[in-house]
Amino acid sequence: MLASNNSNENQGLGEWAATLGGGLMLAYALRRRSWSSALIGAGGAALLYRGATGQNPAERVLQEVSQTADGIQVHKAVTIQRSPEDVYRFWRRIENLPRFMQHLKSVEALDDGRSRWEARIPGPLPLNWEARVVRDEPGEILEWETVAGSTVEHEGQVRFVPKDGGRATELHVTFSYLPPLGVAGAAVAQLFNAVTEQQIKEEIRNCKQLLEAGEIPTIEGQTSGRVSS
Amino acid sequence: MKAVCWNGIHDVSVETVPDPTILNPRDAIIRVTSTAICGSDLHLYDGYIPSMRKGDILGHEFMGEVVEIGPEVMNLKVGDRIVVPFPISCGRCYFCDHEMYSLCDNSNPNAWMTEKLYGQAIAGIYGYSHLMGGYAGGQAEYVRVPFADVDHIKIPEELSDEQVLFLTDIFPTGYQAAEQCDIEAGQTVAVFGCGPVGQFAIRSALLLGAERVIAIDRFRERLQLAGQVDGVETLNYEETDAMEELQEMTGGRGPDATIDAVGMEAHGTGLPALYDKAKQMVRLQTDRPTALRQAILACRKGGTVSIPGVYGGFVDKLPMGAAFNKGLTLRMGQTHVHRYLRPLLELIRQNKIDPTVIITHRLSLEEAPHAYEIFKHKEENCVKVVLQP
Repeated sequence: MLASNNSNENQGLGEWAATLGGGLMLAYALRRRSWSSALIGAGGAALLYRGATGQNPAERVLQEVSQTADGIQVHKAVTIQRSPEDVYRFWRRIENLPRFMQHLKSVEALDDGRSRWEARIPGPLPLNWEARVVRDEPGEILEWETVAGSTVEHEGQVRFVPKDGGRATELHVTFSYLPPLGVAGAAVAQLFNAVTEQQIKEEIRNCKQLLEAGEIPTIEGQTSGRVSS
Repeated sequence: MKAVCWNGIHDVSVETVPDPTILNPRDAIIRVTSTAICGSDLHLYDGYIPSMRKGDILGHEFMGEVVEIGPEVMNLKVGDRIVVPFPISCGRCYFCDHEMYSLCDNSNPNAWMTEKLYGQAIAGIYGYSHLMGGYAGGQAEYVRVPFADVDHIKIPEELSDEQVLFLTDIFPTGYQAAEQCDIEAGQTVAVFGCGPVGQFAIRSALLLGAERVIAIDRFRERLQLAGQVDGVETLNYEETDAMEELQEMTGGRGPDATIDAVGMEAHGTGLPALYDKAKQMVRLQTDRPTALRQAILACRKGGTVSIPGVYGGFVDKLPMGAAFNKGLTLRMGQTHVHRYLRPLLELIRQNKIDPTVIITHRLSLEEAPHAYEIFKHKEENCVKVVLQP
């Protein structure tokens, strides 16, 4: 990350304030633990980072916000301790996606590389679309996109790069949702309200956890002094 | 069940809470038969670690009997008696695969937070804040153990709870600290801090071939406990200039390796406000900020500084020039407990070490609030508390 001149000059009090403010935001997010507060937490963590390093990630944050206005664009790389063939097979069975992508209710495989998707969004309106595989190079790359006339434009690309002599896979995921041209429906608007880039990045981490550990770690529903017995 | 809950600064209480349940296929539930309070629990108690929530169940040193297992746990059965390591490890990621269990990629549900703070995902730890996963701890009658197929060692009947309980954390932590010193026969190791981890580091250094260990603290009972061991000399830094003594005792060369068994875990996530408060408190109580600096300054040229003491955030005025110009090796990190379970259990079986000697207090779970108080204030010569639920 580039440190601007401005951020260098602002070390000292600004750095301290960023650290304190960032810490408070992070602490708040940790207390609330909802996805909306996750954004606050991410902002807080960015400020903490700035405070800790004197580098200013604001430029990048702004960039992400402007992207959000145009839709959702996620790039994320994770390394998975499984062979590219294993990881490819898992993704090629596209019905597997809702196992780690909470924002998807279901994906159903149809014939000819086509699939029917349903998003998990709040509200009474369902949001469905149909996608088709447009590139499929086993063990290397998989790419799909929504068919013409869908209610939402969605594209996914997954690259599987061998690592550690093929024992592991670098998984490079590109995942996007764009509003359709013209007036977007209420269900599409809900998708952009409910789903964040940060969430999709977490879901890609969940893919790694599922493939490696066989499960996604959770404390959801565990006991504590906050729950009455 | 009964569980020790964190309510706020200097406020823990024993509450009746729901029993834990299986949440994931590799979970197990154990009935806790013994649990201990760790020095690092005191920093939760003192409120230095952010992201604790009122009602969080404390405790990362515990053992017990398996009462329920998830469908994917094939190597445990109900009734097995196990000790559980404090870091939660999936056993299958790159780091677990390379026996770096405390660096597990997959055990922290709040990994993204640690990614922002530390650059990468940090493993989950029982009862140690939501930053470290928010897992309910084991100072309770029952506890849920994720990845139970990997995160346990079975204990043979002939060994008592007290003999093996410290395999959860402090024995492996002291042992790893000594191992990191790459001790050669005839060498001298200085250990700063004679709390439970320091005591195990001292004994481990001798087991690993050190000729001489110099133990530094200010609490007489802790120095006495260290001094009982053959080959250990003690320094009370309130009564003598420990830094000068260390050079004197080693003919001006300095100890071949130094161990910081004190740490600065009070830094938490590195908030300066908390940090300053911590620094202040720590100076008043245990002189902690100086331990790492002293370990660096005392160590001989080309030697190793091993750091089992926990750090969470940022360090002020670290003598980097001394470390660099003396060509020191700094080794640190949370303990890869799983790696040490078998060999250390074997040492206990062969009576090469008696972990029970550090226990000063045996109390019931209900007495936990009192136990935290005496441990924090070092009252009643408290070194280590074991709680029996």
